[in-house]
Amino acid sequence: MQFPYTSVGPGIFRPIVPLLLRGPASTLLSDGLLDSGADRTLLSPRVARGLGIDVAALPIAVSIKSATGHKVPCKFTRMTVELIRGSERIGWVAEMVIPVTGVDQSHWGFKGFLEYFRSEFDGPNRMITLTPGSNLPPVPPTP
Amino acid sequence: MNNGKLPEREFNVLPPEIWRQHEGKVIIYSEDEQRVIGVGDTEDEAFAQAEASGTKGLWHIHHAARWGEEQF
Repeated sequence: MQFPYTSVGPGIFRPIVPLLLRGPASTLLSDGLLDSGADRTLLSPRVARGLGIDVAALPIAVSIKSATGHKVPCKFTRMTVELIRGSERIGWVAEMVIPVTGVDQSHWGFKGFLEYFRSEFDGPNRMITLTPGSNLPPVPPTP
Repeated sequence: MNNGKLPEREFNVLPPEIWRQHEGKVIIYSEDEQRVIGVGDTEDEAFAQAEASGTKGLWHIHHAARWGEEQF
């Protein structure tokens, strides 16, 4: 599945990918940076609440050092997510972390996202190719 | 927000003709109505506007870059 890089300035392109997030109360589409330097997939607290996740009720599970060097306490959640291009869909159950403070933008990192794909960041052609691996966690059937 | 069927079309990153009008802002775009329903400096502000619009269906969240502002 291929996604074009997003132009954000003269000669500057970012690997931003839209991801469909299926929460307990609603579904949202969120654009996020595909970040090979991020250890985890981060979901902003506001988007988590918008999906119907009771963030306050989740326990603090892990502390993550941000790019600015600050340690940010985070909570865990799991949800079904989907990449969609035309008629092609790739869905999986993703573990995500929700930072308690200091982060209000979603990032697609290794755990929960990139760990399941062979990823090609094709700079010359400004194209990202994501090929699912056999470890992609299956989406449970809808009852 | 969406509780059911998705619009049957391509889902792409929010295109520049939309986000360039709101550089540096959080944008919430209705995929069903194909219009911006919330803009703010924070996700809280953008969600508040989108909720006040009463728009149902699939919402698309995008953090608009500032054109030419580089990051690492």
